Amino acid sequence: MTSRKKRPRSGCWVALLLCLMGVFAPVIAAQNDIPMLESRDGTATVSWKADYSGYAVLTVSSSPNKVVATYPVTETQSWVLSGLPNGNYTLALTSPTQPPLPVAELSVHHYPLKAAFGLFSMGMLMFAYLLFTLVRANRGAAGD
Amino acid sequence: MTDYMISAPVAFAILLGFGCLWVVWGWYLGRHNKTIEDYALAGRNVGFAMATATAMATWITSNTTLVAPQLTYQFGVWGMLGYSMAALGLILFAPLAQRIKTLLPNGFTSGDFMYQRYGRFAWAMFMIISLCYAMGWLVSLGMAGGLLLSSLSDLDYLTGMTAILVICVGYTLLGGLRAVIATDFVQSVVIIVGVVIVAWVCIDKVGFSNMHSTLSSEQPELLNLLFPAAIMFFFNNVFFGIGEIFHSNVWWSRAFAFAGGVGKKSYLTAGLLWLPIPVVTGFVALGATSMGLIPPSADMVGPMVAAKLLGSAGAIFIFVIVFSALASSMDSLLAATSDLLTQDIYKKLFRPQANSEQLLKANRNIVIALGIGTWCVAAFKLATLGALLNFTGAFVASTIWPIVYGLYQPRLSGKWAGIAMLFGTGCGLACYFIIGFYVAAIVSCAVSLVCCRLGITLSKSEFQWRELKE
Repeated sequence: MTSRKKRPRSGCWVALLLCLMGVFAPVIAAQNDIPMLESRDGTATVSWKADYSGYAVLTVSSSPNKVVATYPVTETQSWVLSGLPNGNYTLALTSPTQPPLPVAELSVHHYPLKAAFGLFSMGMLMFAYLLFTLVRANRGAAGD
Repeated sequence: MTDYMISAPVAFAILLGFGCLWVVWGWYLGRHNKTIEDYALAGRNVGFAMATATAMATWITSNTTLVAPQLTYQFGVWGMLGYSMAALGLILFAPLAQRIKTLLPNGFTSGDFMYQRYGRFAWAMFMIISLCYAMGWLVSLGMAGGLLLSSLSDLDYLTGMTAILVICVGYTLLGGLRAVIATDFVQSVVIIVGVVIVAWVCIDKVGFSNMHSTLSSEQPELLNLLFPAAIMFFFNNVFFGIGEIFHSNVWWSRAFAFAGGVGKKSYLTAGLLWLPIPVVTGFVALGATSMGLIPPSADMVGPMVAAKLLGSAGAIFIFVIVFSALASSMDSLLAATSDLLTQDIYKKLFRPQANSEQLLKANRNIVIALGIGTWCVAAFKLATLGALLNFTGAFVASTIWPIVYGLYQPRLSGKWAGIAMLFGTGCGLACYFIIGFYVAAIVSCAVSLVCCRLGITLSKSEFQWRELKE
């Protein structure tokens, strides 16, 4: 009986929440329209869009608004960024005549060094074994 | 259009001039080709100088002129050094070339060896891998032609890609391996002189200190020796390069074509000469940011920097160098893949009684079909050059151990060699998609090694080497 009484009440809350989401979702989406890019190797590609026309410089800033790099804008050409260390970056287009245009938020999180060295060690061991196999096999073949 | 772009008429004139030169020369060199041995193996009597030049020029390709700068731009110092380690493939193939010539004095292709040594299952696996790799490389070369033209001139991607395919198919068709080796010799001289000049101008105009300070502030990871993805990439590239060379008929057909005793010396010399070239070509990519350049696609960074450094006349110079590099690889690949398809598919499966004339005709038709097939795939431009090439790394690295043990270890059976290639490729591809392109080859090679060792341990029979000569 108790549960029967609660059902319509929780249903109302869900309906209200859905309505609110319906009303505010476009607003939230518009605010977060900037694409979020993620990179595990410090490289990211920013594709060209028609809205970027007229801007002069692509600025890469780290979290506390510190400019890390600036790149020229060439009409219709995308940008490939590389060599970025761990951190969060804001990519924006600037121009002397227009307000800055945010292009993307980039999060760089490199692979752990342990994993990298694990793979490196495996490669080195396998390479040493290949060398050993070839040297020994060629000695054997020469002796045949 | 940027200030260093070549205008469309000039670019077209260069293409036409080059195309006519290579095709007429190919025809001249191939006019005495009468048998399939003349056409496919240049009479099995190639001398040391030509052998070394063709081995080196074939290995200097879009990989070296476009992908080495791309990997340097993405992975910095590690990318440059890691790429140059691909020379180990040529160096380690030197003793194998001698062994191949000794075991199979009348062999034609790498597929021949796999079939005779391991039987049908391993041969089928090997053919799938080999053809996937050959198509991947051919498509990447076609794409590189298109990218080169679109980054340096007003001509579009499709025109460049079509032009390089038509020219290479033309002279390979007319001249066979003899034309391929002779054009490689000239192309290797052009390439080496060209890349040295570009690097010299880069150091002179940009300067080490300027380059270092810009990289330190804007792209610090490129100078970081503890760059995780680049560390992962290093040995991956070593095994990718070794896998490419050990399995590919491009190198086996040369081992068969070189005169007795030449193979070992020429592969070793070619490897040592090739070693510094990716360092030189990759190095220029480190100057991109100092010069205010940012590539629209990572594989375009090399030509962009070089053209900016040398101006509009320099763009023509770069155009010629990279075009030579592409042609020297594409012709070799067309010739070797058509041999593989003629001998291992057409002859083995469809026409076992075919005579030399019929095989020659089939070989030429296959060259044309490969050209058309490559055009159809490259037209879509599905990936960057680096990504496409490293995708094939999962395939080729799985063949390293079956080839090595196939040549030296009589206890490895065909069943286990096939399993090693199957599981190696599968695991390599899985890691390619789950982790990234920089782990595909190393994982593939490791899994293949485990399978081979298991096969050798469990094996009760031994292969008799004399069966290969029969």
